[in-house]
Amino acid sequence: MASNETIVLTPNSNTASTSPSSWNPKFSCPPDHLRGPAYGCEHLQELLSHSQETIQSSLRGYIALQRAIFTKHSMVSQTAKFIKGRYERQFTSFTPTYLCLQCPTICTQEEKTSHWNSKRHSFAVESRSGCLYCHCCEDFVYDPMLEDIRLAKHQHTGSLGNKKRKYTDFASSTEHERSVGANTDAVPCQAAGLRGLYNMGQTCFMSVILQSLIHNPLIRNFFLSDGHRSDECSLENCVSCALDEIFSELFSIEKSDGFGAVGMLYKSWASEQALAGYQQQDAHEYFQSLLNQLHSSNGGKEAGIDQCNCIVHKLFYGKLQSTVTCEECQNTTTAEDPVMDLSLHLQSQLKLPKNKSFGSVTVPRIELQDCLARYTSEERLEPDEYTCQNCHVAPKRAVKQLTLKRLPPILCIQLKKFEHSRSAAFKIESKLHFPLKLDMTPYTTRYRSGLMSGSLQGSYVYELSSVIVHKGSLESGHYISYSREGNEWFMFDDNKVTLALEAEVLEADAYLLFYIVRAL
Amino acid sequence: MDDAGEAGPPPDPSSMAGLVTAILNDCLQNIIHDIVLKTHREEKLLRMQSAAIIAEQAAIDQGVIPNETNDENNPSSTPSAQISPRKAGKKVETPGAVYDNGKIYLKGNPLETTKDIYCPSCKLPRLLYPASGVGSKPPEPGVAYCTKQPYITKPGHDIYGNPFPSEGARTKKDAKSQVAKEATPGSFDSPTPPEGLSSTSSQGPAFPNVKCPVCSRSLIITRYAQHLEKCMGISGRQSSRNAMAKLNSQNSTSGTPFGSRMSTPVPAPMKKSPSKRAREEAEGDDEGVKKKKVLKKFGEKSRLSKLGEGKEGKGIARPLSSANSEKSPQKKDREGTPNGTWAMGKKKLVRPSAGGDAGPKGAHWSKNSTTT
Repeated sequence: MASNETIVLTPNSNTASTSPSSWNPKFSCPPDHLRGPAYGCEHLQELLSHSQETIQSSLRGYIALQRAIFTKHSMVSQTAKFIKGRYERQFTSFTPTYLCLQCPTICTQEEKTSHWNSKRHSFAVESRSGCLYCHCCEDFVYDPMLEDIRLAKHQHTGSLGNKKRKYTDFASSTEHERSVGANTDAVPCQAAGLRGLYNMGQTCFMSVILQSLIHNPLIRNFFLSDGHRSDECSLENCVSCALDEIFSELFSIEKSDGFGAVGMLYKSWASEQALAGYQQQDAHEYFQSLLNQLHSSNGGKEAGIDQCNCIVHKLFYGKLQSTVTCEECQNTTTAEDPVMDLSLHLQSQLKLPKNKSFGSVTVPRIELQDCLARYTSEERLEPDEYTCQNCHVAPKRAVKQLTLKRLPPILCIQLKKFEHSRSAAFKIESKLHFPLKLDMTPYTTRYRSGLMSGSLQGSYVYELSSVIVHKGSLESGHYISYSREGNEWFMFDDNKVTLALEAEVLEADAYLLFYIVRAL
Repeated sequence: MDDAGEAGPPPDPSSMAGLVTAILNDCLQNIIHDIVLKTHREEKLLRMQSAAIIAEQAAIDQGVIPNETNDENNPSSTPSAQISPRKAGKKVETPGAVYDNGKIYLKGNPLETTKDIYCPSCKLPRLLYPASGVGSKPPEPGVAYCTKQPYITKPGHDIYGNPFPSEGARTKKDAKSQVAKEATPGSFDSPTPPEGLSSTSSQGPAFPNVKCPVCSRSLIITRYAQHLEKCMGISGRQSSRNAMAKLNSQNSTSGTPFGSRMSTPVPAPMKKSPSKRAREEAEGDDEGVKKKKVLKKFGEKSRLSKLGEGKEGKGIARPLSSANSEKSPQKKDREGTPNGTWAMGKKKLVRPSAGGDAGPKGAHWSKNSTTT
């Protein structure tokens, strides 16, 4: 997911619409036999171009070693076994060991050269990553075929738990690659979608939301793979068409200046009267309205969200379970609520200063995980808030708890930075600490009810994708955003795009956070 | 770590201290090992591919395989026509790899043999260091590089090394028009903070013009939202609120002129004369002919007020139509008057809003409150 070289393919239809002068025919897909070297190194080539028998036994040995590393207990691969003098010695190490490809010897890092010197066994597998080490090259080698085997094994032990998905399911076959190559155009080298969006006059709320969608790999892949066919769309003022237009512009033309999302603004206004007009808007509100528009323009069903197959519901739809337990009769009632994002309070009880009518409040640094824990913690209901269905009297005590029943692939978290009371409204100024990797397991219904099996541990890990920051006061301000592209972070301030350090991103005063699940 | 080692004798390996130290050392070593191996793999795979690309290009140059890129330019030539049978089976050797009958075999370690990284799609060398800014090295002159280049970190410039556009830099045509000039500085919805009138000399590229999908006029992008609002006829409830805000502003102590915004013309690089266009744009339908002159005059004054001195002109701006006066509360907020509270008492207010860089607004509250 986090590879630098994300291959994105633009469908023919999209690029056909761009002007021919900007389209360079040079960027056609290379024939697959010219993809790269056939072997990892000369020595491996020698081994693997021997008789069929040698190849088979080498491969079998390699697969067995990969299995030993990734599926067996790490004690097995970390225990070095070698003959020293007349005795077999065993030594278990924390640090990497080297498993010989040609014999059952396992060497420590220090011993590996002496094994090579005495036995001339040239290949060994490193125990932490499964990479192949070539003694002749004195270097790690990455053979295309062996890497495929290694990655397949590695994926199996990933955090996928019981819903194992094979590496081969998403690794492209030669046939697949050929058909993709024949039917698509590769993205021009420079067009990585990293372009600013011009501020058309108080439209930065729109720019930041669009940037976070543009740099979301799941949404980008949907649009670049003809998820929404603008040429077949008959809807008037279709927001999906406008977004599609942005994607095809950003990923098929080598330009580095800003882009004016003119069509998007016009169509957003035309389709959502409440947010139309030359004025500042809340980015979160625009995000919700945009999702709504994308839902209805991509075959979304009005009734029965559970059955809705549109891209928005596939990616953003989660479910909250609310459980209310009556403490009189222990009767519990549960209800499920669909959610497209989580809105978290920064503090449980905010003490508003009395003598100010508006302004900002500064509160100490908070952890995102604490906010989530508070969000899903048990909450005592006031007597008049709940009437038990079982005892039919308003109980004196009832406990309510929210848990996450269903987690979406893209998790949008809104931080309620804006508090209001009857007479006052505040922006809460506080440093919220949020992680690059967020484990949502502790907040799920499954985990809270103790149904969590060990194999599922770690399968709800999310990675940070975008951060939207609001600068200024409650009444007015400016939005900027940070998005990750590969391993690099970029700051988007309207049409200005600059590199950002990871530390800068984590220090940002976040208003909206976009997390993407690590393993689908 | 070294300091600790020098400070005293290493702990006895059999003691708990020795064990803890050993485990910690091993953990740190593993972390470093994993990071180095990951980077090594990425780098070596790039160079393996580059070695293959160089060998393949050499094979193309020697006519052993057809040039794919030429094929697309002259569709008449078929791939087979370009290979002479004599050359078809020939081996091509480069320092890093051997091309042999459609396959590429590595020669030696690509980390040593291959110094440049080649782009797998355009087959051109990649620039390895940014061309300017932090950590830059000047690129070799006369070499065609792949367009995917290291991103640049340079103050006032974006990742491609382009200076940020500034409102000040305009096309010559626009600069000639006096009204257009007046609109340039101090417009507070521009992404760059207004730097006063001197910003006209800034070197940044100009903001582009866009065509309005409703009326097909061409106008500068930073004014597009404002124009579109009028063009689409979105005002209604909002404009009545603005009108109220404007009425309130009458009584306020530090009323500033509203005129500057209203007189803002849309630059018209098209056939019509810029000033004529500007007037049309600014005045809408219900403006009287007389006001044109007032506005024009007023524009001059507003320039001063932008710089923080002007407090006149209040009276002139008021008679404007509500559609045009929507910016008045913003102006007032900016002056620090507590006028912003006008909506406070009755409206709940939880959402932030932002649109421009520096534009303080009041008008949006009421809209947001309907959804809370």
